[in-house]
Amino acid sequence: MDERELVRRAKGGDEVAFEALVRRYWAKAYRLAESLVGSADAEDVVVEAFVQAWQALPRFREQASFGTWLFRIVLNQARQWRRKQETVPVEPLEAESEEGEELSLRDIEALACEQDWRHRVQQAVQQLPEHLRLPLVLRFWDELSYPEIAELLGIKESTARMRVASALKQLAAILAKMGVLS
Amino acid sequence: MTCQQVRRQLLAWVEGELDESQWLSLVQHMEICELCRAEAQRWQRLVATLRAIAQSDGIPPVPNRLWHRLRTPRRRLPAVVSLFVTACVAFLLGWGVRGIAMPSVPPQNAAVAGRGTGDEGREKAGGQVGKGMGVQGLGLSLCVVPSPSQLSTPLRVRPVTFASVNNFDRLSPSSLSRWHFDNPLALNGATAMALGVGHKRPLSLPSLHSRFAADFPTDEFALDSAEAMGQGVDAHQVADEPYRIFVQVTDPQGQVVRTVLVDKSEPSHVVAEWHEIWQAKKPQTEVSDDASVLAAVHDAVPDRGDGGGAR
Repeated sequence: MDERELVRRAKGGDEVAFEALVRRYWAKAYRLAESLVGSADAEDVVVEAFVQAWQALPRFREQASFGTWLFRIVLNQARQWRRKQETVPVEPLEAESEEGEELSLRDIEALACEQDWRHRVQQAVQQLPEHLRLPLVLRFWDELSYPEIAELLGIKESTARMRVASALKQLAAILAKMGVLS
Repeated sequence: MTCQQVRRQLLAWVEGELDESQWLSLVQHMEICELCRAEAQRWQRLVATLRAIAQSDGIPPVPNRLWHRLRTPRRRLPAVVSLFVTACVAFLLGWGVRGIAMPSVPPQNAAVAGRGTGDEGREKAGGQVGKGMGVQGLGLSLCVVPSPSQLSTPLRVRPVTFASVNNFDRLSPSSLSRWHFDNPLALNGATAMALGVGHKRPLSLPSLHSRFAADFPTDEFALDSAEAMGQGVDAHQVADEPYRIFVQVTDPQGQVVRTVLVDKSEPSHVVAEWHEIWQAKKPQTEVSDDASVLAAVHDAVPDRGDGGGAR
């Protein structure tokens, strides 16, 4: 069914229509939340975001796409979640380095493994500063267009492009530092 | 093509956005430049990996608890509460309009211009007085804003007053919206400032400087602002308070062009908005120490959520 129709029905209280929207956006919303709060908390954040979206849907004015509107709620939820977690002691940086060191000791064949490479890339993405990480994730994980990213983040389209380019550049640098990208 | 030009176009290249001639000149350069070729290959590999990650597993299925929670009905208030709130709104509406027509304490250096008052001359006068004013007195007239949490549907308070500095002319796309300011385009480049939280206490000056980024001119309001409300406002308190976040919108020159009341529990929604005229002289009343009463509510209608919106 057309997304607009689903949104229209969901606004009217049609739970089945909203369920279809949840299924359509779950993975993308999860990826976005994961990039902000990590995989341990991403599910909780996305659940809260969808519940909030369901409650707020009658007042959704459809001036943006449903996806953009939803991702904004996910962003807000993730940021709120992070603030709440601020009191919880975070894992010290040293521990991360140790993990990296341990990984770098793996034999070269394992590093060449695609799964491991992906894991490294995901790790590197997490190390990007948020203002670069978000546009990158929205572009390549959530498959948003540059105008949509610009709208969602409240920046110009050219800025969104520049940030994605900078993110790729930094990503390459981080991976090179890890020793997995020449 | 220089290396610098190639680097600038790398993203468009990996995204497949280049036209044929651009693509050709870039490829020609990469054939002779090993560094650029290596960089392009790195980017290509990264983008392919990122896209592959997005397609890969590792995303948990939608948990049952979400379906469970979605089955709970949307928040609705009993009809009797709605009736009471409607009566309050009607009262406030009358109060607001009367306030425009007969302000009890007319501000000395400001004017209130309201749509629907039928006072065109006064409207114009308001604009003239407001122009070029410095921002010394701050505040809002809506000291008694009905708590949206008590409403069955949030209020949409239409802006009726405006007088500002010259640069509003530049921001405003037409003479009509100069007064009515309904056009969101007029918010291009605007930033927002949290004015205060809480509906009963007056806005306090210490909280006026907690500026945060808002996504104007987007159609939905991103309320990722609590972290920036640190000054004078406890972020957790903000997070727990479902409504009543006053947001002041300023243009790139720092002039206030709009004030909105944001529904915290529904971050996409601006429940009320109004404009104020800045007053150069410090007012004398207790409330006006922090808030010079300069705006007025003209029209309050239940927001049905579709079309129009609060802006």
